[in-house]
Amino acid sequence: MGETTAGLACSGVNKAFGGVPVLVDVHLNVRPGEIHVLLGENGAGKSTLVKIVAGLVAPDSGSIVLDGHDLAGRSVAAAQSVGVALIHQEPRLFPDLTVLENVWIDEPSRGRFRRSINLRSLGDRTRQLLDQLGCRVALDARVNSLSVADQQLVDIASALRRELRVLIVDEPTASLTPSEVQVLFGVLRSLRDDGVTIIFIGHRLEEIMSIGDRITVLRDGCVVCTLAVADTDEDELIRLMVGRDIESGIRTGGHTSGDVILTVSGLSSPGAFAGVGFEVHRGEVLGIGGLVGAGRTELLETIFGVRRRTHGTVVAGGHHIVRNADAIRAGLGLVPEDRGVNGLVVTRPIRENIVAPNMRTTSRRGVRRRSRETDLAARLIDRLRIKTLGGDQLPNQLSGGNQQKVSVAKWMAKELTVLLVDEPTRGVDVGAKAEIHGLLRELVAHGTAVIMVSSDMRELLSMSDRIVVMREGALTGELDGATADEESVLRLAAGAPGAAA
Amino acid sequence: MDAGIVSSTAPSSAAVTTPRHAARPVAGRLDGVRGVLPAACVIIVALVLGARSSTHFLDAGALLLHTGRYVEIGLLALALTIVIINGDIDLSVASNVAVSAAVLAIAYRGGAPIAVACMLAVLTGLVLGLVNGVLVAVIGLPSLVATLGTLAAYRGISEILLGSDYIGDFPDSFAEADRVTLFGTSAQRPLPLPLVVLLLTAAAFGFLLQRTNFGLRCLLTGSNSAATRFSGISTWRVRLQAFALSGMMAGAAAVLIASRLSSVSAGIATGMELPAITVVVLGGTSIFGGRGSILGTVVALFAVMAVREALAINNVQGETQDAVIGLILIASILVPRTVTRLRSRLVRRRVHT
Amino acid sequence: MKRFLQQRNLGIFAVVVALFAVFSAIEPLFATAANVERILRGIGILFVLAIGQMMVVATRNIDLSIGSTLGMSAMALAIVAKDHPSTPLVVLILIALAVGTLAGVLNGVLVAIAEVPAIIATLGTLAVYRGLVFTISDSGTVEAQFIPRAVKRLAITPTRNISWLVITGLIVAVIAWLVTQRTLTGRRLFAVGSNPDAARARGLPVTGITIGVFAAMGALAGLAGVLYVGQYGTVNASSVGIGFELTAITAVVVGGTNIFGGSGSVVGTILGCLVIGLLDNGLKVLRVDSFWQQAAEGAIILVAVVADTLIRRRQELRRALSRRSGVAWTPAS
Repeated sequence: MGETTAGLACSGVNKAFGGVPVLVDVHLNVRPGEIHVLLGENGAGKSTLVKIVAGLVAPDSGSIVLDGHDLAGRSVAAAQSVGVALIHQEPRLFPDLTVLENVWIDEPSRGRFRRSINLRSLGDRTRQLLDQLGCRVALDARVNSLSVADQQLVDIASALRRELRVLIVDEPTASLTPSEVQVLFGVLRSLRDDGVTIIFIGHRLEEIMSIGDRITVLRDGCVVCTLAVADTDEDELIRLMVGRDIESGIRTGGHTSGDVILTVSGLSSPGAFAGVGFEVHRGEVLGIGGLVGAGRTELLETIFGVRRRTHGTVVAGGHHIVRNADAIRAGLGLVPEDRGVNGLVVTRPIRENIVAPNMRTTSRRGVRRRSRETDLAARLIDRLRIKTLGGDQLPNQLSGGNQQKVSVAKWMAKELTVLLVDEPTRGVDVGAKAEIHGLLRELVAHGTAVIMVSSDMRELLSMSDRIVVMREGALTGELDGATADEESVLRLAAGAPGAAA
Repeated sequence: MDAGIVSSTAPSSAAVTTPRHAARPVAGRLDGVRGVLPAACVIIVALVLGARSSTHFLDAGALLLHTGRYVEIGLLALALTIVIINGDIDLSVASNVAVSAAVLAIAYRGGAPIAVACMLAVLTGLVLGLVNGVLVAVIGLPSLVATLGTLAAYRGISEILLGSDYIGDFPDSFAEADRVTLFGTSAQRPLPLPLVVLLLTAAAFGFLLQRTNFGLRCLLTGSNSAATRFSGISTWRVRLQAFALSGMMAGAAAVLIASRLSSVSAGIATGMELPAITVVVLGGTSIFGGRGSILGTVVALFAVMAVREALAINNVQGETQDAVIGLILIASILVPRTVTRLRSRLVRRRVHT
Repeated sequence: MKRFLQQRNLGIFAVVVALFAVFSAIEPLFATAANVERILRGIGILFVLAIGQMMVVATRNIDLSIGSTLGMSAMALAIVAKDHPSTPLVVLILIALAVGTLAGVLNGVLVAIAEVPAIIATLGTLAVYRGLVFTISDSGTVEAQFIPRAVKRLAITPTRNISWLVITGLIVAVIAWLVTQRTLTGRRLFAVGSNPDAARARGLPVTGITIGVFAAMGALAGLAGVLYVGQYGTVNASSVGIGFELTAITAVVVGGTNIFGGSGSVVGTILGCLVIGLLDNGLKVLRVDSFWQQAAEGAIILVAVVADTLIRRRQELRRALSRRSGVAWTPAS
């Protein structure tokens, strides 16, 4: 291992949370000036590993050596002082403060009397840093008025302030548009060329193949192997991550024979989208493609009656849906994007989560019936094969995939006409992903219509019978699921040349 | 490998962790009991200390006859428990009591039968509670700020209504209801009316929180209002209802306080919101919402009562009693948290060695 | 000036001007220099407390104990002055400040280290500190005759028609403005309140900042205690500082500070105090029944907060609209 001279070397790192091992004897060597990708299913330990490197989490044992400094178990400040910075998926910024303040807020106060720094004097330097990243935001703009992409650049600018040796980016592309991803990748490459070591965590294989120099695959807290990007392909990576082969499950679309059960026309919500209309048929999957920020999530929320609308109608089974109660009465259900925030009450038992939209059937005259609740929960846990110790377990003790199943299960107690799902498999490991897809297909086979928002192109293409695409709050076109391909969706989503705008 | 039970574990280690997680749901159900623990300890300590100070202390008659004041706080605290579980707070309850009591007194002075006056008081409380609810749940103000505003506004209304008047002369049937005992109980072994009112109300609230859809909606709303809304529950309505309940209980407390004092003035019940909130928090209800129990609130109320009576029998004055209650409030959060922290540190050390 | 009165402050400024105009129009005596000085003197104590509370609220905390802290400081000063009449003024002031700071540090430790939610910790110390006021004073009153003239002069004797009370308030305001707007340390208060997780992740000394802001609040409450003794002379255990915490929070909220932390300005807080002071004094000058004052104060909070909420909601919507256009495809890349 002669290459540890100037790079980052993790050796024998172990970490357990509450007795559960998360990292087991991890050895990782990152060469100076490379982009090193960490790959693995959710829960493989990637995030914990980089948090240990960044000083946020102390390992139980092992060492993290950079330039002869052992960083293991020291503080964030210690890691920063030797040039380690972590950029998280959610930018670690302060929404109420300005760009300038956000960049400098963690600058140590210098001088004997811990003299405070006058922010005004730092303007030029900050402008320089932002220009280097191609970020054109105003210094006195409040961060909560910036796009997510700009926020990430501000976050990186803050790291660049110091002499940067190791930059860790944890799932930075999850909420970026393709063009923003390209900008970010350009920044990362130029940093690498300046000699910065970059550790990149990502899920999208095609991105990883394009940005990475070497890849380390983690599984169940152990390093499986490290290989050069040039020597591998996506299939091999999936195999290494999962430990087995997975059939890709391509479905041929085009099943649009059923009756119309949901009609959306001229629907508008202020600040999100305008004039959206389409029909949904019984027993089909309608995919909604588009870039992040195109208004897709807001569209689902408006159909479900939990977001304010200014114009338009939603009709299901002959009934107008205006309020959320109407939607639920008409048999609509929504599985939102962020299951921990909007999908589930993770600190209340699974049973209560399942009962929440079904109180009418589990109670009598407003009084809860414990036996009915327990039966309902048990039935759905069984039917969806949710891996849990029972309805009294808390959802935050489940894996992402099983949480997502609970989020679906709560709508399956009654006759479901339309299920709205938003990014149904984001942050879910490959095995659970296949199961959730199977579940959606099963629903469709029983006559339910599924409206699915997905940024995972493969998922969108393989699951949808029809695909409508949104761009900047408007529908830009409809594609047949059988014939649609990545290019045709992207053309409608991003407005690339050749699209009928 | 299928997705494991525990998100970040290998199958082999899942087996090791199963007992821990199996214990968790049970602990979840015991949460209410654990929340009651600090308050229960306080009761025992106070009773022991009180009994050592005076042989008369444990005389049920003497103890129970002093319940009047606590019952009013208790009524406020019961409804506040629901409000706080929702993730809100109602600082205006004491001022609401003052307005309701003023309405009662003025209606009575104006010739209304005392029963009608009482009903008007409860109705007033309900309306003022609804006003809070509209400000918070419909308009969307932070409850702390909105009810801080109504705390001043309602007190102002009671001052406008009563000026510097004292209204009394209530009929004998109404005055000093706290001295009324029930079921032929004697002064030696009394069952005071207010205590019965409190216990019945507490039972009703316990039922409401634990056994009804409304209670479940409150627990869900306070835990995560976004996810609750996405489950088709109108969280604004739940919160509005809780504020209405809180107002109604303020009206009921106004009736009791008017009866106990036999006189009503604009300054009545000033500052009573603080002991009520103290009781709720001492009873294990999380100030951030989503967790709490009626049992806890009741036990905490009796704990406060026991401590105060034990101190009073030792000639400790009111403000020092307040200070002791304040200390207990802080300790009730501090001690369990420190114990948990020490225990987890101990476990970690054991894993290491 | 434009920066001074940006956005939200403008609305409150308008309210201050409107109140002043209305009261002056009805009662000519209102707009006299003497009365304006009276208004300022009337809010001097509130002002010192509100500045501190604004900073505490900015960190997503709250301090309910400040009325009792003020009481302790004032009582400590008064007792020392009574028992040792020869104590120099500086020592008396330092005693009050020390008592306040100590109380603040204890609050900070409870919140930052013991992790007791601020609203509960300070609800507890509200009672504990009040108990201490009674204990050290033996439930009594220190009469005005025992208070040295030097202390009383702080409030009473005008220095070129402006009392020390007002000057102290101004000094506190200027320092607080410099700290919160011009220094990194000050901005960190807002950072901690704006996103506590990010603050921790980026290595900000959250514990230190929290204890520091509570200590500063305590010191300011101590200073307010000095001003209280100066203004009122007599210090009574059961009335000194009672309910001041609510008025201070009111001023902070009326001044446009978000109760959930991350925002707040000294200028807004000054305006918030002025609104309360103008109302208080105006109703008195107009000989409105004193019973209406409390109701008016409540009404003004509600109006201010409802307006603030509605404005903020509109701003957010506009922001959402502008952000959407920012997502547009950028051909430059």
